[in-house]
Amino acid sequence: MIEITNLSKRYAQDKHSITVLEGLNLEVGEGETLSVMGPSGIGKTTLLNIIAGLDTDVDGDVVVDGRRLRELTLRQLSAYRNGTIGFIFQEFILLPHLSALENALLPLMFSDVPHREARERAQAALESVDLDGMSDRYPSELSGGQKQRVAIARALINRPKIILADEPTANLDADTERGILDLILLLTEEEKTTLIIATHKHDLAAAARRIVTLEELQKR
Amino acid sequence: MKLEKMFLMSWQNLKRNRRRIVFSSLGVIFGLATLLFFFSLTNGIRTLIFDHFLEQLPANQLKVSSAGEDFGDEDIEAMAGIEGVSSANGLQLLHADSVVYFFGLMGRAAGASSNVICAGIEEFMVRDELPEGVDWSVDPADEEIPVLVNPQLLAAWNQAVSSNLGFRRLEAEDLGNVPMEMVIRYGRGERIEYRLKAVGLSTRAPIFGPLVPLEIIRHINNVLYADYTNTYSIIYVTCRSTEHVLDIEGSLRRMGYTDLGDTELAETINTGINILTLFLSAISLVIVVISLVNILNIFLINIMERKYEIGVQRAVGASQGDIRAVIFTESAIIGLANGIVASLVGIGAVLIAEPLLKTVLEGFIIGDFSVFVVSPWLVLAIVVASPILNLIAAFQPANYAARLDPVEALRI
Repeated sequence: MIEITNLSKRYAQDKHSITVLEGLNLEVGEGETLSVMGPSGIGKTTLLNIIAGLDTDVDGDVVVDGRRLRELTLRQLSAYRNGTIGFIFQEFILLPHLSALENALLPLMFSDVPHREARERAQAALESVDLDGMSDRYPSELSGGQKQRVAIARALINRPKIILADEPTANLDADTERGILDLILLLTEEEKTTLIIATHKHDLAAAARRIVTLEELQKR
Repeated sequence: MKLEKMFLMSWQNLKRNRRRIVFSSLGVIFGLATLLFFFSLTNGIRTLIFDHFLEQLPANQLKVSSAGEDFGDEDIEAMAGIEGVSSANGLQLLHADSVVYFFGLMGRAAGASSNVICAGIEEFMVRDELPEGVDWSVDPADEEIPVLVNPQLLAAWNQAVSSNLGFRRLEAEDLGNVPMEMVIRYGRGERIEYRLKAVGLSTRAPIFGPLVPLEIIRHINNVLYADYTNTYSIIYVTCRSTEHVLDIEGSLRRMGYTDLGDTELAETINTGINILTLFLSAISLVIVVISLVNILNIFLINIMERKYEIGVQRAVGASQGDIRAVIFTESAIIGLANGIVASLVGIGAVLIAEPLLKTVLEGFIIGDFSVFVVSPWLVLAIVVASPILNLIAAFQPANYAARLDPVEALRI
């Protein structure tokens, strides 16, 4: 499903080049759940951004679902993100002026799915994350856990092949954290979706079938 | 991205930024409304002058005025002989003092009198202005002579005379019911009298006097001064077609007939009005341009504030084209709304200003004519141009938004 070969990422900063990832290799199979571990600032989010096609200015080869990302045009990359990837961010990243339903259906706004069907699917997605009856609420009216549930619904609405979860429980209390994690695992398992969780927490990482550290990935 | 969704997203964005959009749009609305107002004013002034105050010649006709000495039959023959001319007809002035008495304007007996300039013309020249059944070829011995009156005379009567002296107002159709008598005094107490009947209006008539059949003027001039029988102060040259007009105008000038009357006056007035229109439009356009720059700024500020949102949209699959399309749709909707509102405001201002201006200009001969003429084409142009101008203003901000790096945008 995902084949990353000899991936390097450098940032230019004040005439200096900062290397974030160096010679990274990774293979993830279809339907696999993987935790990528590492301390904060080591490049986990960068790796997820690269897999999501948000960051293409890299050295090395990234092939996802048979597509070599650096060969895709900007339009193809957008379609790839829209159809193949579901992203769950650490900060929820919901749009404050949109209701829970409108936030959940956001990816479908850029797809060919008719609007009526998109709303029905968003409603169903909110129900699947136990938010039925809250579709009209705005992010400011939701708790942290509820916001992340909306973000999960948004990530799953376009039935992606890959879910990328970047510290999905970092802003949640311990009680809510477990519930959110179980929900992500349950929903991805149901759909046989490939799941990559980037985290620095061992208990969270342990939920995945396979755990790797970012350092290990760059040693090979 | 489907059209329906594009409109929906644009609408959501417009809704949440409505206050800022309304305030930033006020300038454009004001500018476009003043543009409509000024254009309608100058358009109205042009119509007022050309349609109501200046003699309107058919497109195939030229008016040649005598600079000093009157024209004679030989001039008519010379002009009629120019290639492409179908006829040349003279307008002869009455070479005597004449007074016209109007009766029944205040009470049954009371009337008014005025020294007038009287002119005669052939039926051919006034055929279009004569009501059906009116015979212009009268005999000087007839008891009643048909006359045509200049519309300005009627307006002057209603505006200046009737209101100030308490006479009754006259409409064009009332003229026929006002008994008129023209008295020409000459020699030692001798006089010629004619009963006149106004049958219609003509811009060819002298402003303060009647236009009568040419034979009447010829007859009176012959009785008084035989020398003036075949003299003309104006000759109307009718061309076979409008294509010949410019060539014939050139021929007339080469023959020494340089006073082509109202053509030059009309050109001068037209140029003056065009300059006024340009000046006033420039003021409005400056307002519009400044406001568009303001809209561009507002869009840029808006996009800076929406960076994060654009980052999220790009992250979930929006293409650069989708981002551009949403911003362009927003700007087109704003532009269309601005155009419609500006047109309504402009028309409203015209409706308010028209009676006010007429009150201020009460002493002038404006009568019932409109000072403003709102062209539907101008309204349409404003409604169409406004979204186009807004799209131009949104071009740079839309490109900026589309090119935002989603990773950078999400870091905010």
